[in-house]
Amino acid sequence: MHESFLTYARYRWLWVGLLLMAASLIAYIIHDPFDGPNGGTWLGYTLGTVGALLIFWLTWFGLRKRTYSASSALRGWLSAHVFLGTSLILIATLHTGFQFGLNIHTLAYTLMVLVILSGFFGVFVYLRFPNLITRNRSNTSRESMLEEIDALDQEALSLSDKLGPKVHGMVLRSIENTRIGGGVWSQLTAKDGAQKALDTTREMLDKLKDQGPKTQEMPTMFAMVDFLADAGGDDADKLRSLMDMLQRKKTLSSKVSKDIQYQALMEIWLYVHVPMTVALLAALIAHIVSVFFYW
Amino acid sequence: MRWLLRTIKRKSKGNVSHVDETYEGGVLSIGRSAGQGLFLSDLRVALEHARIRPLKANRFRIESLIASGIRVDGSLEQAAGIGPGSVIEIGQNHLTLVKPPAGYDGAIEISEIVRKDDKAGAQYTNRAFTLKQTKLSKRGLSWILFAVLITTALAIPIAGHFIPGMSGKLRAMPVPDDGQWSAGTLQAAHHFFGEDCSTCHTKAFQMVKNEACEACHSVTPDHADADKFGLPELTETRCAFCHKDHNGLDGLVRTDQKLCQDCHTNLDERSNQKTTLRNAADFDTNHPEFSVELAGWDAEGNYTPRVEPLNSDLLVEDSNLKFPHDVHLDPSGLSAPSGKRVLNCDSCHVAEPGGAKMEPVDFETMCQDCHQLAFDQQAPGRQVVHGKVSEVLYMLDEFYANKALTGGYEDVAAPAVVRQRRRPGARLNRSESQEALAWARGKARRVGQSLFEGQACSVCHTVNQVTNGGDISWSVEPVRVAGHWYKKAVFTHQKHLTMNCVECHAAESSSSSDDVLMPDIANCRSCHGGEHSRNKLASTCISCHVYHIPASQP
Repeated sequence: MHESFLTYARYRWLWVGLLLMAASLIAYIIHDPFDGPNGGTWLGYTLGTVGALLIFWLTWFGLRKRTYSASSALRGWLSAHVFLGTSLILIATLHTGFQFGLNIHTLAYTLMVLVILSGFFGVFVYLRFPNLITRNRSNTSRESMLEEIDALDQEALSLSDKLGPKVHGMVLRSIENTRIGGGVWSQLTAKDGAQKALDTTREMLDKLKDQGPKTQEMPTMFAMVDFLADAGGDDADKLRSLMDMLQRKKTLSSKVSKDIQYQALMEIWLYVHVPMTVALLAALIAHIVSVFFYW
Repeated sequence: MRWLLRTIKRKSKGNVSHVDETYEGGVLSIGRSAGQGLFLSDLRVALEHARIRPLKANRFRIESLIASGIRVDGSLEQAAGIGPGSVIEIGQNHLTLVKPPAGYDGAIEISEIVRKDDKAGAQYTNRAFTLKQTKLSKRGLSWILFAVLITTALAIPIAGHFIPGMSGKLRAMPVPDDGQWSAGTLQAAHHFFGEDCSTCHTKAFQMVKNEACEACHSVTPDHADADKFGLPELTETRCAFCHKDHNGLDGLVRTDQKLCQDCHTNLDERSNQKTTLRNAADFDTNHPEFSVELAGWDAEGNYTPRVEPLNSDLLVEDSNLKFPHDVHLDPSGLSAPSGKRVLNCDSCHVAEPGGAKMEPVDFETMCQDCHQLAFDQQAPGRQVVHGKVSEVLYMLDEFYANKALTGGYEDVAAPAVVRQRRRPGARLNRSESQEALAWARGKARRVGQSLFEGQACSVCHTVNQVTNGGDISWSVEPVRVAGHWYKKAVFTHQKHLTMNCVECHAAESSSSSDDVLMPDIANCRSCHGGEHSRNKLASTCISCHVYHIPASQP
């Protein structure tokens, strides 16, 4: 049975995290400082120290992860990272004593919350997406799907060349409009243009059809093909198989785009998590230094 | 128009060779059909794909002849202006316009597009497939954020602290200053200097020192004499131990009970029995009976107030004034010259401005209406002053001397010279004068005795007769009530206006001025409880007592 990083060592780190949270909460409830709960009481300093050490240690995980490849050790570390990181929300909140304001201290807190929330997203995609990716690829690889797309393109081009320059131009345009991958937004939204390419093809067929009698309201693509191919049965077959190819290509390119999208979503949160962590480190240093600078 | 068409062929090991062709014609057509100026054999090229027409020297216009368009410098266009340096992508072909060599008007280098990945899907794989291949960079973003935050949140404010005059400039400008370090709102009274952090935070990495507080709070007294009670911590403690600012508008003064409890629970032991105070810890459950200050005099007649607990047997007020409250507060009223008059507490007791204490009772405005100091039936409007004995006697002497010398005083006991009516200005002879004045002196003494011992003064005052070299006189015992009953507590009537006076002061049933009418702790406890009281007004020590006790209150 596969052991996920959440269940690692029978939820060892979940328990450690819960214990840490419970201890902090109980101390906070019992502690009754005369000036109200705040970061400057003995408990405030204690929670702050624990929180800061946790932040430094959790950040160190990011550095450590690069040098680790053994999955078991890494899983334990990741498990600790997730659960202790989650406990940080409570520890840091209690450290603030619920005193928030427009200052460097609350900025550090906000950055920390952003880091943790983005981490939650990371946990979600790590748990959910590997399955989705496997299902989407349906026993093939991105590489072989791309190979097939390439082959389909070549085939479609040579077939359309026989159907005349108009159809060739149409297919060329369809190929041109299919854009797999690309910028951040394209990867995240999986907009590969395949649907647009297919739509454009239909539109162009529609235009060609307009030159003939206007009989049907919303003719299917294949009906149009039949109409266009009235002239000769051979061409109709070619057109049909051309449309089949384009349809097949569309399905494939959507899959590849989806594959890229899943992978991008599995990575994109790190583009918040990591820079925000570094920003948090800066804010945390400023927070700690400033507190003792103006003691 | 002469075109140089140079086809570049890549060979293995990075070697390159090229084949040059020359095309003569105005417009350069590009396509896969025969007869095109530039023939491209790629299936992705339409039979007639595009054409390039010259505009002027080294400027051209490329137009797509099919709907799918052409990629010029990376973007898909139907038509575009081009010149040397422009890159055109058609199918798998790269057309680069170059500066034409001598003898040519235009030159194009044709090469096959080199894909990053020469494997499957080559047509697509020169696009980014992963976020790593995009311009988005974790490292870059991280460094930018780190640098910005360290600079604005740390370096600039620190520089402002150390470079003289810079912090003021920073605060005046819309740039980050040390204000962003403020952990919370300052106490209201500190706002006027609060922008300048260094008013209190004088030295970096040092806790705020007492000197910073004392710059303004120079007259704030200590809590108690540390030497006398052997409690050095009373003066060694930092102001900020209790007074923690940045805790909101009114968060600077400690009002918690614990502040006092720590020492006062067993103050007798702590101070080695040097204190006269009794232990206290909570108003509701652990607080001694109130003590009041009572007027008193020592053997030499100097005012020496004494302090008595309200449950003491010695609790007798010694004010030297006779005043039964019950008589005066008779609800059916008193017989006054103007008729029946009902007196209330505030007929005599008026709070001082601020409401802390009561104004002194004033005889002339509050008592004299009824307690008139008239002395002669023939002059009912005349009253003696409410003042010193000698003044009263002097006034009587003057009054009767005048009567005797003027004459016409109707008194059967008086000599004829006094009773006789005379014309104004008429002169008495020597013996007549002596007789008249002798009568006057005697009359004044008799009236004085009557006033001091009988009808007037002794009603309220304790009056003693004294003989002064054969002449009799009187002395009145000094009247004094404690102006400030609870010396160690702060009480204001202003906050208790919702109460009736008699709810705390049992004046209606008091028949003697010996009674002390101050309320005891049980009375206060009917409304006030300790800090943790749930069904009473939670009152901490600071509700009634102060920490920094002025020297006038030892």
